[in-house]
Amino acid sequence: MKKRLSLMLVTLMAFGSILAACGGNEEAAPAAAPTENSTTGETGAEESAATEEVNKANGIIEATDMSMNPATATSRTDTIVVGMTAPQGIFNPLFYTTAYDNYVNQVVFSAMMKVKADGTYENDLAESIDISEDNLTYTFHIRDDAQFSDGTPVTANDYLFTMKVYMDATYDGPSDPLSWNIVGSEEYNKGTSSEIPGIKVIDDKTVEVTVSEYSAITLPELSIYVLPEAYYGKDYKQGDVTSVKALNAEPVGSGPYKLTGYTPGQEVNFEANENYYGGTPKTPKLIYRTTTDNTNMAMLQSGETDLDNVTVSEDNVEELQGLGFVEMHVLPNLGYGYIGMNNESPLFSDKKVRQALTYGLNRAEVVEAIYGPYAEVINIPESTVSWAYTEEDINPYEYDPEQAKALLEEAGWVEGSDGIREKDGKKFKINFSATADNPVIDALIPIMTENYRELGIELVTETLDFNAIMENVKAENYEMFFAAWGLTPDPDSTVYISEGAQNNNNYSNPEVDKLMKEGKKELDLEKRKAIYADVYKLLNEDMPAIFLYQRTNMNAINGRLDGWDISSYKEFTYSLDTVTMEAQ
Amino acid sequence: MSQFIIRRLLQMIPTLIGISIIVFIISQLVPGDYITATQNPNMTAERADQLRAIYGLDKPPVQQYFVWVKNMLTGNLGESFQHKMPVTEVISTYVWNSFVIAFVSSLLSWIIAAFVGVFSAQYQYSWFDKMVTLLVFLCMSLPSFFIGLLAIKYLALDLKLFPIGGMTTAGLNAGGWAYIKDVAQHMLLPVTVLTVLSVGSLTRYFRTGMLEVIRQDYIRTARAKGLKEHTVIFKHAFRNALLPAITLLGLELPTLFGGAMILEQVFTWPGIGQIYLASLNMRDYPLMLGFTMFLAVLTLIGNLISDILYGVADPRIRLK
Repeated sequence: MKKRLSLMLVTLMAFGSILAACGGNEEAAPAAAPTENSTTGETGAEESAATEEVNKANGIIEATDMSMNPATATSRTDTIVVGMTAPQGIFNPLFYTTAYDNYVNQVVFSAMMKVKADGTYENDLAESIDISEDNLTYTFHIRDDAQFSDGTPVTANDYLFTMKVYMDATYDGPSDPLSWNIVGSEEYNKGTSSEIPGIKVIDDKTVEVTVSEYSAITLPELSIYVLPEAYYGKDYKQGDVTSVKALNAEPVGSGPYKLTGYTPGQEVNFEANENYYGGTPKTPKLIYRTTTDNTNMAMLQSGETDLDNVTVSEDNVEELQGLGFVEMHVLPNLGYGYIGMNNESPLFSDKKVRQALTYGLNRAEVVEAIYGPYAEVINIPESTVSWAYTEEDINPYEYDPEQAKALLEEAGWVEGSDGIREKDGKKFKINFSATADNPVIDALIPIMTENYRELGIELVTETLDFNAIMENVKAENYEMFFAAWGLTPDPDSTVYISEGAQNNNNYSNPEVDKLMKEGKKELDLEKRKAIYADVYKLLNEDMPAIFLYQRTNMNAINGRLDGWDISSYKEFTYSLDTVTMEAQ
Repeated sequence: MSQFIIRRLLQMIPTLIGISIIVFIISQLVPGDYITATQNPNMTAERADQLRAIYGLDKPPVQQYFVWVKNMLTGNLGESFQHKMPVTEVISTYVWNSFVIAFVSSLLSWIIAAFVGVFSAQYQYSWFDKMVTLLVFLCMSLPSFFIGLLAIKYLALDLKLFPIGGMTTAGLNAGGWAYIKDVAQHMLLPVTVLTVLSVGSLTRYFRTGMLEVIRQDYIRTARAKGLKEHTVIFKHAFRNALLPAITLLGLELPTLFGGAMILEQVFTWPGIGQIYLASLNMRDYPLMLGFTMFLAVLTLIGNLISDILYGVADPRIRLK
């Protein structure tokens, strides 16, 4: 009997960790956002983290003293070592889920178009792309010299094959290919047709794609990474992508590097792809090596890695500057933190209350406490570097408790005998669902509790697992929570439209719905800018959620490597094949 | 004996069924699923439904349970949502890395704990015993990530005695002895920290076990016969003091394969611990359930082994 009991205990303990160990990590969320649902666009004014040392234009803090570079790094003349969180081994641009797997995909595969530093696109595998008058037909002309790393040419059939895998009924990657509206994709998915009539192979190098409905993001959606059919298609049958996924750890693509070895949890090895149409990479070998937040600075310091993503904080920047040989690229993160409110709850249904809660919260102090100078308070849900970003007619909601109190009075919330505001006999008491071990929550809650007490509002926090909070949010059983969203380069999103799948705040404004629909259908960039400026003005006024901050990311790079072209949109991976190594 | 083993093995079947039911129910009660955990801002409701259908998450829980059990009986633990490959493959990729450090550090802790425990029992309340007790409690009370980071800072970064993290040197394409040597070098630090952490409690077990034994009459008899103290302790007392430790030995089995979540993270060791933790956070049910069942089976086997060893070591409780 005793043994049974101990067995039960072990099992329960193993499972108890489910409930205990799930600190919902906001950093994990934006990482999973796929980058390919993105679109053409021009850059807005680039505004970077505001410190004096940071070069405002590009967010670069230069290396100061290269003589301090350790021998471990300087003696490694034929290899770049990049430190990062371990990828999961899904080295296939169709199936990856983490940003780290995507870093591998970006050097092994290439797509019809690739992103430029300003967030716009340029042709890559495609030599030219023709779009029909009605925006429904897209013709891709593939480069003549495009080859996969095994020497076989990239053809229109490879494109068709890749699309078939996307449209397959068992495709479980992060994209939503049926929403691309390619003619006949639905039938292929259901298995009622074995071909996709919307994709016509004209000749070896030309493919024509027809969609039944277009949007501003149709072109980037169709500009997929191409898989070689000869390699991935050997055992593929419609309705079963298992054989494609089985090759995840041994990818073959048309990118600048080819994967030569993968040791799970440790490292990924690459060699230059001499068949690469963009020119053989300058550095013959590339290694992605697993590091963690605990070891990444130490690895850079000892010269074991050349590049890593380091958390931006004053301490870290100072320490890396002290090393002398490290160059830092501080870039706005594509995402933002917000305090979600249930817009349908009687507490927050009045927009005056939501505005008051924004005025009454010292957001600058909160953001300063979490990120120091390396994050900015935001007032609209868009990245400062996006072309859609606007500050015109946007209320900055500077901290103003008096204004907040006035708005609350207007909304009918009056102070009761105990100093807590009341309306219709109901006290203004907010239940805040917080995650444990989150630095944002740790800084936010004390300031927020204090600020809101001054307004006559009581804030009660309960600590829950992140997934549990999200479950409550979906079930509309919540009042307030903190979370973060990732942003795609295109401003189209489902977060603030009434029927949107990601409408966490139960927000509904018919005008916003209408404009968002229009913006998605409009292909002219200037017109889109105007539409989204209107959307953001409305959102800024309605404050469906308290927009909190946009933080920054940092690539810390050993100064021996030169020629980087990095931005929020264009990750370091796109520069790896062209950077040069300083002669030592 | 073989009859006993067979009976125990048969008893494991209903126990396992019970465990699988409990584990599955708990997994169902946990809020969220893989699709909500991915937090994809572009996920539409239709795509979420499609994915749930592909993963079988749209079926009623009872049906899901039977599908899972049926697959398990054929040795198929399903496909991990996160890793997009069979769970068995994910486990076998990472579990051996965990096993290597867990095995070496267990071996070391048992040897060290046995000797230190015996000596501090023999010289109870001596200066040596007091020092050991102090050290043991110190080690037990320090959080593992703290010692880990401290060790990295001083031993790896400042003194450059050990590599900072990982299991091999980046870009090393060595095989054979060179590879083993490289791994051994990288193992030193994590194994040392793991051993320091686990040796404490074991030492206390051995000390207590030994203290009980040396107070017994037969030890007094042995001493009265004029035997050397050395012989009394190691030949007469030590073997009996080991008996209670056998239970612990059996329970050690699952921990050998379970991975050390925190230390693996600190030392960037590619073990199963962090993979398991990630599967919990991401609600990767096949991996999470599969690995939990794997640990449950190991626990049962560990129990069985300690029962058998008991019989071998102690004739008094040998089962008939």
